[in-house]
Amino acid sequence: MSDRSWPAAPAPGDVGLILLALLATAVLAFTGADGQGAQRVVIDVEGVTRYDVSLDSQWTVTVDGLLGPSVVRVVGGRVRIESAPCPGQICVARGWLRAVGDLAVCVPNHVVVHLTGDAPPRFDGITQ
Amino acid sequence: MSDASRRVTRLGLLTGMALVLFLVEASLPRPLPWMRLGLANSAVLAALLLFGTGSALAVTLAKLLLGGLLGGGLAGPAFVIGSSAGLASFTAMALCWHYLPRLFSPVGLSIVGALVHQVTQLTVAALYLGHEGLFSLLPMFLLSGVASGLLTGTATYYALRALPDTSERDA
Repeated sequence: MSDRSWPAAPAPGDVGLILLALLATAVLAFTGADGQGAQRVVIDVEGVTRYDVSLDSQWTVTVDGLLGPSVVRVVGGRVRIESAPCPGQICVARGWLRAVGDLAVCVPNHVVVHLTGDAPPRFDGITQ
Repeated sequence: MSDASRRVTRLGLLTGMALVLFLVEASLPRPLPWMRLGLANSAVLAALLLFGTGSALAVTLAKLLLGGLLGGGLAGPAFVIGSSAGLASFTAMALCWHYLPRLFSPVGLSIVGALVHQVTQLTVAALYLGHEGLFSLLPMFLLSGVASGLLTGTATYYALRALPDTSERDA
């Protein structure tokens, strides 16, 4: 049922696909991302905005997500998830957030930390 | 061997291969936390190219279920996200293989699968979290999809070339 014949690599489609994906990556990465003007830290827990505080503060908060407590720390114009009860620890490894549109996500604990500000967001109306 | 037992044997082997790759990968350090090689996808791709859509779907489903059991997250959000991505990735590769037969080599098919996997993962996660801001991660997800698809696709390509071309296999 299968004839075991396929084009040798690299096939024209392979190269085209890679170029297209790289182009899309570049366009998406550079449209409107000035990385400036972050002013507010917004913390959403289970889809609801729980906190909206200034980025220029020294502040640590423990929020209770689906699995347990996530600790979020704001210091010196940046913010990060310091600890989380999730198995993957992807949100903690995300590190410090500084720019508008940056975000740290914990899917298992349903916690999202992101930055907003006066600067235009990274993405336009299409993705909003 | 009858056709039926041959089919069961070969699906068992491919599923075993997928799970071994899955476990090997789980023990590797990751350059970035959301970056995965998706090595198990090469078993799905090999099934698709050698034995057709039905076999590849069977391997995909077995991989997702057993991987979920081994990973301990069956029915959690991560399992739902991963399964959607795995199924979408399989579907995209199967469609490209059947309807655009001369366009992609196995390496290209693997990249198709990886990119669709990444976009689906992000979309389902964004829906689950109700947070469209997740799409700001899209560039990084696309880039890591190209890289991982290229690596696993190349590995699969050479593995397939090394297989002896016996009529037994396709019988």
